[in-house]
Amino acid sequence: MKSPPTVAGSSVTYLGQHYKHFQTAAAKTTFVLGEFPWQVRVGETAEATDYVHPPMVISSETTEDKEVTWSIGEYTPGEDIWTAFGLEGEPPRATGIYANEPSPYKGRVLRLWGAWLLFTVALFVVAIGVGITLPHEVAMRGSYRFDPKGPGEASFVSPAFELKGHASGVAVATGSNVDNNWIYVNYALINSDTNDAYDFGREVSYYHGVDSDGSWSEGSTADEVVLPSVPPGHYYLRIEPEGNLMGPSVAYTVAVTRGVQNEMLYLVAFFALLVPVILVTIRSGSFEQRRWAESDHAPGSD
Amino acid sequence: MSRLYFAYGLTVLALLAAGEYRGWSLASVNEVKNVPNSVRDNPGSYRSVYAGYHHYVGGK
Repeated sequence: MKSPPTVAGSSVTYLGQHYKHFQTAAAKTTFVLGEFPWQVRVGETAEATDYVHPPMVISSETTEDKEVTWSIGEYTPGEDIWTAFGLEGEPPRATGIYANEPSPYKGRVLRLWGAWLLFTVALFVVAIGVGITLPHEVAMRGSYRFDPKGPGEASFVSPAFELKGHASGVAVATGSNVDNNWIYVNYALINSDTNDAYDFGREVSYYHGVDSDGSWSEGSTADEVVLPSVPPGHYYLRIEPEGNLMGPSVAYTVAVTRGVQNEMLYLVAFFALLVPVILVTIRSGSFEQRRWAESDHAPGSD
Repeated sequence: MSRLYFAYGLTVLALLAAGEYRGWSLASVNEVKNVPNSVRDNPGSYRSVYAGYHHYVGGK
């Protein structure tokens, strides 16, 4: 080192780089083998302090007579040393995370979050664009009333309607005036050209009240479901309502719309984009946690 | 990693676009083939697989 680092608190600065204090330990020479740039003796002790800025490490050794020796090092993978010495076979696998071992995630986490932000903006742009361009074509709309105490068969069919365009999603929306009550509607969207049907059921229930915790509510008076990839053709809807047999009659509306936006897909895409970034962030944090677990600043040691 | 994520993100957006175009949905729908023509005139002759579903009748 050309000049000693600048010590500020528990860190040092050298050539414009900030090194964090990693560990201070008492070092004792117990055995000597090889060539050293100083006169080393068995039994000597020194206070050794390491500061890290991966892959660099700066170490200071303070002897009993207060002589301080600074040195700087760079992390070298075991494979490189193995190769440099021309050793045969495979080097032993490294265990743990060394003080100045460079993180494989360094810089990646920030770049990934940047990419995620771009994709999220793209997702919003796609959502707005699709929302503007989709036709939202109402193919059928009807208002009905269900009397649970009414006689006879509750099921009926809607007038025929046409679904145009290519195979795409069809939204079936159910609205009702239920109040502390429910209605369940069995639907069959039947293609009169092919006699194929989409059979499904939807419940609309809405409850509310006041108790010792204050006012509360559950459910909603509206429901919508998107049927997947419905081919074009002529259709009718078989509708069979069910309800509380002891309850009042319930008014409800049914609307079939072609060319609707499926918000659930955007939610799935949002989480699909987010999950890998969170996983890499957690792995990066785990890497640093394992590094600092070996230091004087281990998480939870304060 | 970033390049991989970039490719992954583009794939997600492409799948989203395909899903919107084709109308993919997570809805629970049962597809039934060859529904009899008589349903039109006699709706009670058809029974939905979801009929008789146990309904929530509570509230808080």
